[in-house]
Amino acid sequence: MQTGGRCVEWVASGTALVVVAILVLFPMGMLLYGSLLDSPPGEPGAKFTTENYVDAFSKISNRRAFLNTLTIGVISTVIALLLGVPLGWILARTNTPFHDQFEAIMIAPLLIPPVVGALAWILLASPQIGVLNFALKYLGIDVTLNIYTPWGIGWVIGAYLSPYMSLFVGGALRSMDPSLEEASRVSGAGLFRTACRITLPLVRPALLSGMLLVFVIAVGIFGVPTMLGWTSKYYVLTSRIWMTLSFSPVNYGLATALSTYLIGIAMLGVFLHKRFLRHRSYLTVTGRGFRPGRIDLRGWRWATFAFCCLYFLLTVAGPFLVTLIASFVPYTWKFTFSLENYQKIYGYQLFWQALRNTVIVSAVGATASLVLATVLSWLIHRTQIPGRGLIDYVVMLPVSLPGIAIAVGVVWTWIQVPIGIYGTLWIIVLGFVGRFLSYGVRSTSSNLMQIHPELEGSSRVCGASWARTLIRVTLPLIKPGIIAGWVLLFILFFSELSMVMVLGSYNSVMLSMLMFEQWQLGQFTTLAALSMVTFTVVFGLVGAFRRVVGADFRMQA
Amino acid sequence: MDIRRTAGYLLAIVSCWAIIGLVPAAAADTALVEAAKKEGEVQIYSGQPREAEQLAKAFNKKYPNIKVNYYDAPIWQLYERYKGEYRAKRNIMDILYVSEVALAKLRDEGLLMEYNSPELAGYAPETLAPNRFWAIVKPFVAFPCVNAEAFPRKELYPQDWVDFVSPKPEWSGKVSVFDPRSSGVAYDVLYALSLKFGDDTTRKIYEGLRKAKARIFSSTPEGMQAAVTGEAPLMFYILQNHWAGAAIEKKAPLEILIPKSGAIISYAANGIVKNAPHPNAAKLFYDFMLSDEGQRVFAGMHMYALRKGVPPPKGLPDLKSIPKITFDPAKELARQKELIKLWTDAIGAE
Repeated sequence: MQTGGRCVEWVASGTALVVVAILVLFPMGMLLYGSLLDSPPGEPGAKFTTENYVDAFSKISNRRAFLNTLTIGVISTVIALLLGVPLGWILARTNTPFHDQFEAIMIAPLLIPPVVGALAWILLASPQIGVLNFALKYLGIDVTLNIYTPWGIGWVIGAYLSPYMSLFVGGALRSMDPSLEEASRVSGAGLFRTACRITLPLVRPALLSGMLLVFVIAVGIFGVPTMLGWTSKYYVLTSRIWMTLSFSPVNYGLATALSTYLIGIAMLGVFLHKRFLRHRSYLTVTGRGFRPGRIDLRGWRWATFAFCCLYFLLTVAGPFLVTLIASFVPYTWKFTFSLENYQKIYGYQLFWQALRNTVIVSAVGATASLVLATVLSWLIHRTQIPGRGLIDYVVMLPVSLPGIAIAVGVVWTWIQVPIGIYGTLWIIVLGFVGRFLSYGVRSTSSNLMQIHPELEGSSRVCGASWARTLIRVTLPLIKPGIIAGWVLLFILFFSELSMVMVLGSYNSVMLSMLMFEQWQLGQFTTLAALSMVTFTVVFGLVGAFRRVVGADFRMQA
Repeated sequence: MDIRRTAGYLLAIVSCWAIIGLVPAAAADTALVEAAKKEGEVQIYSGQPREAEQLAKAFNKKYPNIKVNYYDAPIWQLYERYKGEYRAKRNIMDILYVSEVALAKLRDEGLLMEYNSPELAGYAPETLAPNRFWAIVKPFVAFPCVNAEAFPRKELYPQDWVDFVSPKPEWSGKVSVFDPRSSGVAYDVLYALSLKFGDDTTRKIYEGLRKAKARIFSSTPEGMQAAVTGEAPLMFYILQNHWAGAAIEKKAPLEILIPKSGAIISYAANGIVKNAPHPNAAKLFYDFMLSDEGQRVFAGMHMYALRKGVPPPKGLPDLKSIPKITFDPAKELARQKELIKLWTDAIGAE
């Protein structure tokens, strides 16, 4: 039986690794190959060259873009940390009023596509026309907010990504045995001291996983630094990559070579993450049953309530309101309200097809990602298979690249394959799963690291097979991570644009492509309306999903 | 009497030729339509957002049995997509509808089908493409633009492109200009200015924009948004269809300013690709885009139509009445590196 169990283990592991190779290594390999050619692979007369790398690393403009990118990454991560960690703790562990309601809308910032968020923040904090600046002037406060600065860019990205921090930290806190904190409180430590000396260190894996993910995503975002930085000649790597892909001759080789900066950042992040967490134990989920309680903040709960309100006002309500109002006006700001923008959208022939395609791709993609991510997390943290540590690096590779670049690698991989994947929804699903696999792995791994192996060990000792243990013991314990990961990925896939621009075709049109069209036409109020439709659909679907799984989830807590 | 008989004979001969001339044409049309119906569909890759949808609707009213599939994306991504599909022998596209410059490149690479559409008889010679590998469908017209509410003083408006060499102090921080490294139209404008005024004056124009602290946007729509909100009310240029979408459809207070030297004209064209999977349906759709009906679809979308007899779109001046700066797209890309350097040095971008 043991031998049979091991056999199943090896088959499952082998299959997962083959899938990772197909989804991640092949497209990356094609991109690397393309970066060493002077024209796209397969082009007659294409020759090997190192010119792309010489260009990428020697030009001052590219090096400056790299430094700017690091700056934006750091600012965004700090902001996401400052916003997301306290929020995650407040909602998961305290008796803050309306914590359930706040939790239900915690992911709301992610529902506003970054480009729309940037547009909303221009309307809020532009030095010339920003609503907040008008308000400050009216109140006699001599401060001018300027969204067109590195701090402005970092703020928009950090606020957008802060839910990742909340979800990671909140998920870890819910799975944690509270007796450790109780012991600290009983020994005389105050609330703040307990939070800093006990709670936060124990959720360090989730914290670091969240920070790593936020940083890597932040440096790879294109829309926000383009809209906010380009006007003041502040370029980041994704801006430079966009330049090489926007004009003729499109230089995929140079785009990939520039992306090596981003890959380097991601790999360094993974290395530091592993190094910092090794030789330490973060096991907080053991064989003893527990029921995480909520800390009674007493009077301080109104301060945390105020923090939650401020958080949602700044990250959700402000941009959401601006976008909502814009969706009902002909242009910003002419206040004649009508449903014209919505009628325009519903009149688009492809709208319903795009909506259907987007829901299918997002749901199937998120599910496939989480299944694979769960197996990979288990491989990394629960087996002794040689080279398992490399998996973390491999899955992180594609997320460090701009979406448009990795999508080209996916096309170059699948266009040669005779089965009918190219030009269908499947190539989009495969592209998404390959690129965003690390999100799922981060989410499930951070939960898995907190679970003591004794629980699974007990199951195996009692005669359960590997598969039975995985399904009956491990999966239920990491369910918060799986649910959080699925929700994140669903939302991400729903609004992902840069990959869809390359992978989509006439019969796989997605909502994000319709949004991009409105952008190209300068129809921002129609874009706002489409954002509202997307927001409503995603919010509704995620809400329905949480209703289905939420009952079990709350019972566990 | 002799004169009358001669005239009668001549009339009879002319009528016979006319009838003979008509019959083969009608037969060709019918044959093409039948062949297209057998194919059943046509795929359009379009660099002009939303236009293919409107054209498809109008086409399907006439030919309901031929499905029109369309896909919109930026021009150079479509170009690369087609080439990738061609290399992999996975031809999906039938018609590529993009700026002339991309079709010129494909023609040079031997990747377009030559087709002499009968609809070209409805066009003046100066509006025809120089060959039969593509057909010009509509012009892009670029001219400066201003938000007349946010920037009401008409005496401050630029009258010509060269006025930007010496920007007025009131323009400071209020002008938008577009990056030719990310916007094809911005490069068209840069190239056209260099042809019209020479590199030296073109450099001074962009140096003037730098002096005016012009805000650089990666694309025209972003600049238009800044103009509409009043953040940067003076646009170095706007395309007429963007302007119409804002000013006519949405009544935004944007006014176009026709430069004395001329508006800069480039063209969108369609071409049937080599090895098109549905060549007859492609020819039929190609003809439709050039037909009176097809051109009126463009006019309905606030585009200029080039076909004789189709009036200009409402709210826009007649194209014949405005001075124009045009250029040969086949030569445009040859100076790209040099002109981009001129631009980055002049505007102070990296």
